[in-house]
Amino acid sequence: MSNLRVAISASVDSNLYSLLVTQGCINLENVEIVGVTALKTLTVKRLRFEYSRVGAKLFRKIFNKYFNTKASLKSSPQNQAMDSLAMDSGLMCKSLKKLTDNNNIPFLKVESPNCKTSLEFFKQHNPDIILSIGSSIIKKPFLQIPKHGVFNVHMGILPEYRGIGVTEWPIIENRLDIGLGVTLHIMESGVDTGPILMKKNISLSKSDTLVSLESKYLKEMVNLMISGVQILRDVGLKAAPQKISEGKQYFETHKRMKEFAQQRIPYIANDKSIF
Amino acid sequence: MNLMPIIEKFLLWIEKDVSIEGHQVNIERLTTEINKYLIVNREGKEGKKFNRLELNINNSIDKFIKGDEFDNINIINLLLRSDINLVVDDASLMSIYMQLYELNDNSIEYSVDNPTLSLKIENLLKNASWIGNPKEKNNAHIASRLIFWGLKMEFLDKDYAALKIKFLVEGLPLNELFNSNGMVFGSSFLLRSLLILVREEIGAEFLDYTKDISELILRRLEIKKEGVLLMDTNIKNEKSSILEHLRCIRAVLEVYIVFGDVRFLNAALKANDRIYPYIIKIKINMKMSSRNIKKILISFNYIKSIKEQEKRFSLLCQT
Repeated sequence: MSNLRVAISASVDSNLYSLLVTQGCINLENVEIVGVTALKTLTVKRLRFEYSRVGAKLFRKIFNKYFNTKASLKSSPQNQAMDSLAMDSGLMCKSLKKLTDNNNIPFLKVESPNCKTSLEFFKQHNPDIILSIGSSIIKKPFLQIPKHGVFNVHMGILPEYRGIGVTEWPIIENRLDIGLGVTLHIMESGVDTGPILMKKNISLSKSDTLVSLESKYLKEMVNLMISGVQILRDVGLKAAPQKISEGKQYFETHKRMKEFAQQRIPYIANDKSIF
Repeated sequence: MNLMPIIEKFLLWIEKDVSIEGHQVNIERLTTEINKYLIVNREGKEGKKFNRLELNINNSIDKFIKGDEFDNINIINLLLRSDINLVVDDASLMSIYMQLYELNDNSIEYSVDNPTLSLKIENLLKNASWIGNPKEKNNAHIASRLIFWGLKMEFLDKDYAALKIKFLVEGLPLNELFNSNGMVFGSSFLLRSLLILVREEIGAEFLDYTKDISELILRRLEIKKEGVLLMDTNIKNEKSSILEHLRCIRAVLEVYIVFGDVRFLNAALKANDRIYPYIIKIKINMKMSSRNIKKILISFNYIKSIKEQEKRFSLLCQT
């Protein structure tokens, strides 16, 4: 049985989701990680992109990360949940560079997944699939590199909830019949429009908060990505094209909408529900 | 020296978002300034004299501020008598007067199918195109504006309006709504007319188009995140763009009311926050000039938009 050649296009070097997926793939038999890229953090392009995404909060993020060590070490219940997730998967490193170095995996920092350096790096390593982790819009030349496509886990149920903020939107719209969840799909040039491989619902309990949901999501996103790789390796995956008309594209929620979603959780959550 | 507290204060300052309290303070300030304007511009005060149109404008401003009922008969008669170009010229007092009426939801009903207005619309549509030369574009804009006012003030037959809207819809393919120069100026009137027809169940044939055009505006607001939408127009006056932008926000709120799609309320909340820095710069003076009255008009559109947003958001929170 020949190895499945997997490449990973990660977010930043210290991103926990990227680290967990990479570690998860390292743990899999007959799976070879042929290369990993991570985004350069302090480039003008990236800072501009992040500013357009989070606005002035970017300064706080930079300040906390590089100057305010007390804030970055603060151990919230959320951080504790993330730490235990890391421990369970046997993750010992806090940097992709270190993790890949320890496992002799080619690693490169790039400006964007679509940049020339990134494209050449992935072409050179000829992967069967690329796992895309937390990156921005992926363009056609990148999508055409791997044999089986670029895998992405979307933080929402597709085709109903495409786009951003889809952890909150089913709560705002009171659509727990569709539910919260994650979807593994093959990326296309459209936003979350690619064929669906697998889905996993996430239960919502009365004690949940939008923050606590993040660790639930992270766990399921890692599991789904790794399961996708496993199934592809063992039996192959069948992708079902999306019916775009069955869903909508969502956008970032206004802070008051977020507060509304938070307040709504105890009223609409059903602790007994098992998806 | 420990710089942390200073940096912390600075970060808190730059992170400070626009809040609903900020909007309310802004509304109070604008209302106070408008009230001062009304006191200074009372007929007869310090020998002040105004023509009929100016008096009507001040009367409308007064009624809007007090939340009184508007009597549509005067404005309809004036509309039918006046030069059509004055209606659409954003800088003209006539246009401003019409737009003040357009804001009003408490009108005394005055239903009549008026042949004079229909004739004006017919003449405009003979040479109207959203994607044609400036003259044709302008005609499409004025016709949409008249149809919208006719529908809003209920003096235009709805079946007739639907027929004419069909012509305007066919002339604005969805891929032409936004071109490289920006959004087609005046298309907010087309969307708002469509929404009235869809709500009244006359516009079933326009349902898909209305949803598609709404989605395009939503995407533009959410993806480009412009403070004021870029307009495809030769009107360089920023105030006109602010006015059309505010009309677009109100259209987005109306989409939410008609279709119940919360994404549109969410987009309106964000768009109203983004327009805040522009509104805060608006200072109303005491002059009875079209420039100053236009600022009052912008303020009224802003106040309406925030009030509608709050009404809808509070209803959503009760569900």
